[in-house]
Amino acid sequence: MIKVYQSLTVGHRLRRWVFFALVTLSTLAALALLTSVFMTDGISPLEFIMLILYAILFAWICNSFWTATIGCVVCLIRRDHHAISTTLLDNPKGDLPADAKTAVVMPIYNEDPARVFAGLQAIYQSLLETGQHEQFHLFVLSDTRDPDIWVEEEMCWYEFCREFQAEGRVFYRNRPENTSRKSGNIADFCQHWGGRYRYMILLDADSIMAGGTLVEMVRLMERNPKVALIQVPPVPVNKESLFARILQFASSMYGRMYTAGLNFWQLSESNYWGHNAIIRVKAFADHCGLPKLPGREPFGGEILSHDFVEAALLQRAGWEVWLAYDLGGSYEEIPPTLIDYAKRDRRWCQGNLQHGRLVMAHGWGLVSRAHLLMGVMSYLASPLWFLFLVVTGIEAFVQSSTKPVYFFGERLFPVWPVSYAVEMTTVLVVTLAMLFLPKLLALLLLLRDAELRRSYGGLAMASLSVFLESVFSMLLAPVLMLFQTKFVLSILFRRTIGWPAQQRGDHLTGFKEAVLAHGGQTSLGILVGVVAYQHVPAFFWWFTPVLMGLLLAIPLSMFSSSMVLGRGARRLGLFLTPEETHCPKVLDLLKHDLDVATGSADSAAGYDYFTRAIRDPRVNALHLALLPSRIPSKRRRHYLEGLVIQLLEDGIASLAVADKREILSDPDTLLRLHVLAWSHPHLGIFSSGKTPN
Amino acid sequence: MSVRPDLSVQADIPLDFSTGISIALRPETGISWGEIAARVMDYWQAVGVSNEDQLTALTRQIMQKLDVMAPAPTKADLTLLAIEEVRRMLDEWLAGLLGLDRQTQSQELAMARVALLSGTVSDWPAVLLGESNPGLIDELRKNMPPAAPETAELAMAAQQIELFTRRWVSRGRRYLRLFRVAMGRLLRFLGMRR
Repeated sequence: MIKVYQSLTVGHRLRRWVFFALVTLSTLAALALLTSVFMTDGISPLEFIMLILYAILFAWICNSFWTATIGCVVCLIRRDHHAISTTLLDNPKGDLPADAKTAVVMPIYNEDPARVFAGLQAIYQSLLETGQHEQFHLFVLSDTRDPDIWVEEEMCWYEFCREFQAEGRVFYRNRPENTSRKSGNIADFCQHWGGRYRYMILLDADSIMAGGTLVEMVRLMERNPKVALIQVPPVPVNKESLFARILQFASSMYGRMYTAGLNFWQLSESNYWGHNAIIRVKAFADHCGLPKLPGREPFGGEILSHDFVEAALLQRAGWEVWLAYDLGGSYEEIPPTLIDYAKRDRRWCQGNLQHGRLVMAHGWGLVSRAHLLMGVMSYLASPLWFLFLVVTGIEAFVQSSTKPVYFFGERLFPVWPVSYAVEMTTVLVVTLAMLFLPKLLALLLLLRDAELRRSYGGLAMASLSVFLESVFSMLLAPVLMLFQTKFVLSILFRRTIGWPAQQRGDHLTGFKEAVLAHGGQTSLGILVGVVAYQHVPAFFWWFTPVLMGLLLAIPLSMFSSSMVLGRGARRLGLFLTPEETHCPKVLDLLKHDLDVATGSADSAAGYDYFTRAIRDPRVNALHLALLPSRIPSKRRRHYLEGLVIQLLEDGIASLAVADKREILSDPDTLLRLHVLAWSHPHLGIFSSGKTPN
Repeated sequence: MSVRPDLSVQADIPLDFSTGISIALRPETGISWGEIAARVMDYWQAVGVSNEDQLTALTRQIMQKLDVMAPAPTKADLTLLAIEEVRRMLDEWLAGLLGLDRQTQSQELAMARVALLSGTVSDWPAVLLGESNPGLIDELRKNMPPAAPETAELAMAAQQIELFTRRWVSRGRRYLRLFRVAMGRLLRFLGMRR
């Protein structure tokens, strides 16, 4: 195995020392303060547990705090000599070299085809404007299993090629078996077509990137031959619900600081976030084939969250991975409601916890280990906070039920208990400052830049938005804490949580859905509130911020999903982001393409897409043209024969989704059904294939 | 709306055949030549033939072929054969036009059919009926996007990740083995073991 670690400069090393020293010293200082309070009458086992939990959690908060603070300084200075973008400063912006072929790759799985292709069209149009589009090919790598979505994707692809005369520039394939999910999908691309391209730019189904940014990414890679991957942080955009708009605002407002801070200490050992990144294909193919981990799921088997591991593998092989935080033109969409956000968390949680096994694996660099550990902590922090609150509650109960003793032995004078209110308040204030100070620092950045200030709706509205966002985050924190705690526990106990697929489009959370998702949390909040109020009233009042979030979880979830409230807030100038104030061209193009796609939704046929693939000669021919040829085994032929008979006798409604996919996967069966559909319309095969209007 | 030109030549030949294809259909009895011709016309319309004369001419061609093909009375499903004949006719014509092999280039042929049905290729039924249109091939090719480029394979082998636990277990085993060997030698040296 190759082990060529990057040669870090003194400046690089110094930055890391400064960052980790700040985190460590702050944690030690806070820990010393808390220990001094506990030390008065000896540290009880409960207090010892509290100290350990506090140390871990405070270090976690400090990490974010110092990242944001350093990032703020970098943004204020407006200069970072070590940023990768600086390597382009003296580079003339000519044409890209002819051999710098780049594949823009979008792996998809049962996504809304209209949105996927509208996004790709916007990116393609934006690329056309750069005049450098000759160097780019777009690939839609479908792992879609839903037969209707599969057929619709094919139609969208064909229309895209025709409308933009993009033949030979935009490609589509549907993988027969979705082995190893997304990472397997990308590996399949590399194995089949990787040799044609020097770079690939990975997109998510909801990613949007400006053409200019894509070109700049290639230029950066050309300029830095030791770099295997450059991540451009995506900014959340386009959603209109109140929940999403608050998150978009927070991400836009504080995100710049955080990413600048991350780049400050990570430098050439940055992380990969799975999309909106450019990758050197050969290096990726040589070093990022993912193995299966020994043992069973959830910690064994396939590596679910592949991005962090791929970055670590590249770094292990001596390649650099950078975060181009100042490039811009990189966007994504976020879940529109709290419940959808939690569903996404559930998916990510298992993958991140799996990294726990990899942190100490042989051969990683220290920063790679830190990335993996931070991934684990982003979900483990919730159960730790939960445990910390439980232990604190028990400790408060124990303290309140202990009667103070003023006279010891034969001493005449009482020994008054020493008050540590000042120390405890200091601990609390420091913790809160660590949490909320970055928000004020973000406002400080606005003071410096008049244009930026205007793009957030002015200082007054931006400040009000920050305040309201802080209140919202405070109420949301205990709800997310309980969600994530539940996810972590369910993964540890190998329990599955049966939740339907996440919806990406804006939609309202209904009362029933909210009660089902948050009923348990609210009940727990009431129970804890009553018990605390009866037995430890002093603790109850300290605990109210947490209880408030839990009690309001149902209405909070419902109201925050409202698009009316989201748009209303926008009209008032609240939670504005620069992308809303001055919509970038590529997002305008996306909106236009989406409107066109929605307006021209071909529902005239009145049939679902599976039926159209059988009946409509054009759709049928397109599907056959894109279907890889496979010679079915004898057993499979019999199985398909059975499905055809089932379809003819019992209609489409009798077929399961997997059966439909089987039919669509076999060219002979599809042709046979097509001819039958036209020669025997009276059979009524497709009577139940109509799309309900 | 389907256009129904006069097909009385064929329509007045009443022939009833039961469907005897390998699939267990519930056959409708009483299929006439007229009904078959109507289905064929429906299919021609579905593939984009809208001109009345062309529709009649193409349907007549199929019906004539069918008349030659189908020895009466037979158990063959004539409507099925008729639709298959339309497809075969189109495929043969397209394969000849574009120089494609029907057996080995079935996907390209299917894409050519898509191009034909896309509605942008001008008056192809006239060419199918014998007229010439030199620009047709280019028009077709323009509407036949390749789904994927030529493959250029790269090897992507699974990397080895040596987990902490595995590493220490294997190290532990190695140390234990060394310890056993050392102990054995020591015991042999001390004469306590042969």
